[in-house]
Formats: sequence, structure tokens, C-alpha cells
Amino acid sequence: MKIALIDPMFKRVNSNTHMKTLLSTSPYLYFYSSYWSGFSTGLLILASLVPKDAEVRYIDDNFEEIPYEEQFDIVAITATTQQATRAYAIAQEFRKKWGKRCVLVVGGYHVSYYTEEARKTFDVVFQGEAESSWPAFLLDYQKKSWKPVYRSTDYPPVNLQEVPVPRYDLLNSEYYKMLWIQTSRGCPRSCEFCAASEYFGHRTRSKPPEQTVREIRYARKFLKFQPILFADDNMFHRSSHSIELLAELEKSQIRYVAQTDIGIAANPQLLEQLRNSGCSVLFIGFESLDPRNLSLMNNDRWKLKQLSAYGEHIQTILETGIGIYGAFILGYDWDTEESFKDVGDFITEHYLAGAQITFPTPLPGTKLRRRLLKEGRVLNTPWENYTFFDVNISHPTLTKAQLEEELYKLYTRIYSKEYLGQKNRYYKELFRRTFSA
Amino acid sequence: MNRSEIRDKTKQIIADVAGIDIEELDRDLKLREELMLDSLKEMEIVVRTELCFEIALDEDLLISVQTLDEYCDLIEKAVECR
Repeated sequence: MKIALIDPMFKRVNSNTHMKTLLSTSPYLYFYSSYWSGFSTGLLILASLVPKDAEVRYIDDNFEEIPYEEQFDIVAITATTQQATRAYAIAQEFRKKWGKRCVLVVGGYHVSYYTEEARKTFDVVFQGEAESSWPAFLLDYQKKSWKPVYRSTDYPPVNLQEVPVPRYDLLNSEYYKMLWIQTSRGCPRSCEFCAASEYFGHRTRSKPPEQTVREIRYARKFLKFQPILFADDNMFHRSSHSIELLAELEKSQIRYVAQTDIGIAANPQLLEQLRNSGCSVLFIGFESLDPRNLSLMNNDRWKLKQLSAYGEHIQTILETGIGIYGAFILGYDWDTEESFKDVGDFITEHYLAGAQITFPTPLPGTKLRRRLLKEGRVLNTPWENYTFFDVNISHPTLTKAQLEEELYKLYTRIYSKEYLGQKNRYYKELFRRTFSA
Repeated sequence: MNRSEIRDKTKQIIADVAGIDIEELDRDLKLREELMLDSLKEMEIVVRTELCFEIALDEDLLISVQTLDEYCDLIEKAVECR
């Protein structure tokens, strides 16, 4: 059995020419851009689940030519929403060349919601997490009787303790700037724009700490220098598990970036442990500085309740010697041109190490999409425009051109020689204080 | 402190900040492109080096440096001029 696992081209920007130019030319966005580069851990896990005698290849469309001339028994493609159009094009080429001699399979976030759309091109569509359904499909394939749709809900729930170590050995290490590691799935917050929590659920499932450390050790054999980024959307909100995990990480002597929410600032003991275990930067979703937007984004108002303490919490985290990358969504319902300036001021006044500012994107399956469809505000844009830097919704007061212009101005402000100098001076002083203490 | 000790200590600082085993650090390793040291890690290296050798370094020091070896050369000179 010969299997191709394909990660389609991931465009950072589609139609927003301002941002396209800036991201590809600014020297100050080199690291920012690197954060967006990555491989599909999901496909590497599927590679670990194929029969021992199967030949499996990982093909990254971002770096390699797709080998259409090579015959595979199964071509399995993953797709986020913005990759969907490219995934369909790749599959169509294989079909043209090999007809029904090659079974075309697709999975991932987008097709879990747009299954019928995917069925027009693919023989098999996976809905939801595929770690339980993929082995079932492979057995069906060997019996030559596979189903058109494999739903995760028809199989045992995915137990992360049983998920095998991803096949990092299949990667070409020269392609990747970061090493992504996943320790858990799911997030208790219910933000209307978030696709990951809809897909993985609101109950957090974690790998045991030893399993995570084993994965890091294995990955390090193949990706020796790449900084470690934990892919978990909200890694430290359960402090008992976090304490155990951080104790294990501390023994590994790694450095890493992790994503969590601002609530971590209320737990000084955990912050100390984070620093001791090698955390250099926390990626935190602040989302908006406007209380009306925060109320819309998060119906349990958790984020809104944190707003007044954002500054104090940031200072607490910085004082432990950990930098912060802030995530903001601009172009939300109550935003004006002034909001872009306010976020710029907030980032520079609090010396955030970096920031990811994106437009609200009505991803399939999200509450945001449902709300904006009801309001008739989802624009008729192609899936490849769902990049987060492209405008896909109509704003109550700002035009597409205004939104793009303001985003460009904000990025050039915070990724500039001037702000880099300010940050460097601030962090040099901060590190002097924390390391001398 | 002799030159080899200065180099070893400097390499250890970079290995610790990058979270890499010191054995993996090659003298021609590019700090930004290969080790992916961002500006925060650069500042951390500068401060740890200052504290280790009791020297003062400019925060822009690493902008002019490409490789591990070039950084070690600079620190050697700074320690000698102390």
C-alpha cells in the first residue's frame, strides 16, 4: 500500500496587497512570518497509524512539487478553509492522471463542515478528528469497501494518551522554522470566532506529561534547532495538570513558546514554574480593547471581565522575565479607525514582544459565521481569501479599503526599527532585573 | 579566564537561551536563520553574557553578528578590553 499525505499550499495573504507586500519584504516581520510556517501534525499522526508494510510519504505543497506522475494507492489531503480550493485542485489532478486507481481522501477542519462540497471531488471525507476513523478506513480499503464519509462520532472518542508519536522523521527539516508540539486539545472558553474549540470541543483532553516529553525528544532528532511552539490553544488553564507538565518540561531543559489566556497572571506560582521550565514567550489572546466587542466575542463575558486588569496582568507576567505576544482581532462590529491606533498604543505602551492582528474571519462551524450569515454580512469571497489578513465580512462603518489600510499602518508601526529599539532597551533592563534577583 | 574558557561559557549561554544541547552548536551556525533567535532571546543572551563576564554590551550588538563564531570573537575582545 502506497500512501501520499499532502499538506496543501497555505497562503498567508490572498487579496490584501498591502499586507502581502509587507509580509514578504519587511525585515522586522521575519520572526512573525516564521510563526505562521508549519507542518501538519495531524498528517504525521496518521502516518504513524498506517500498517507496517505500507509506504508513506509526507508532501508539503508549500515547498515541493506535487508528484502527480507517481502512482499512489491512497492520496490523503488535509485542509483548513483557506487550503480547501487548493486541496480540491490537487485531488482533481490525481484523478485526471490515475482515474479510480487512486483513492482520494480528505480530512481536517474545513471538510468536517463542508462535507458535501468535498464529496464532489474526493472519494472519502473524514469528519472530525481522524485518529480513530483512519485505521478503520485503512481496514475497509484493504477489503475494497470503504465508506464515502467517516464520522469521528461513529468511532471511539480520540484518547490523546493513545495517540502515537507523530512521524517527524518524514519531514524535511530544512523547510521548517518552528517545531510545533501538541500536548492537549480543547478549550473551556467559548469565543464566537474560534474554530478550534468548536472542532476539538470545550473539554480539555491532555497527553500525560511523560508522553509530551517523549514526543519532544523524538522530534528533536529530526528538527534540531527549531524553537518549540506548543500548539495547544489554551495550555495552562488547568493548574494541576500544568504543574505536572511544567515539572517534566523543566527536566528537559528546553525553551518554548506557549499559548494561554491572561488568567495565568493570577497564578504567580505557575508563572514562576513557567519561567523555570523554559517558557520564553506566552501568546495571549487579548482580542479587543472595546468592551462591546468583547461582549460579542465571548458570551460568558470571561474576556470582558479581564479587560480592566489587562495592563496589571501584563506587567505581572513580564516581571517574571517572560515576553508576551498579543493576539488582537480588529474590524469587529464596534471598531473604528481609532481602534487600530488604540491597539497600537496598547502594544507599545505595554512592550508586547509582538502582536498578531487579524480580521474577523467567519470560519465554517463558528458562532461568528452563524451570526454574520444571519445579519447578511458574510461577503461572497472564495475560501482562499479566509487567511485572517483578508476581508471576508462587511463592517458596519469601515470599508474594505479602510480596514486594509489601517491594518497595514498598524503592522508598519509595531514591526519597525523604532519599536524594536524601544523593546530591546526595555527587555534588556527587565532581564537585568530578573536575572540579578 | 583563557580564550577557550570564554568561548565555552559564551557557547553555553547561547545553548541555554536557545534550549539546544551545546554539543549541537557548530561554530558556523547562523544565530538568526538557523537558531531562530528572536529579539527577546538576543537580549537575553546579551544580558546573560554581561552578567557572566562583568562587561557592558550594546543592545544592538547582535544585529552585526551572523554566526556563533562571530559572537564568540566579539565577546573575547570585550573581555580582553575589560
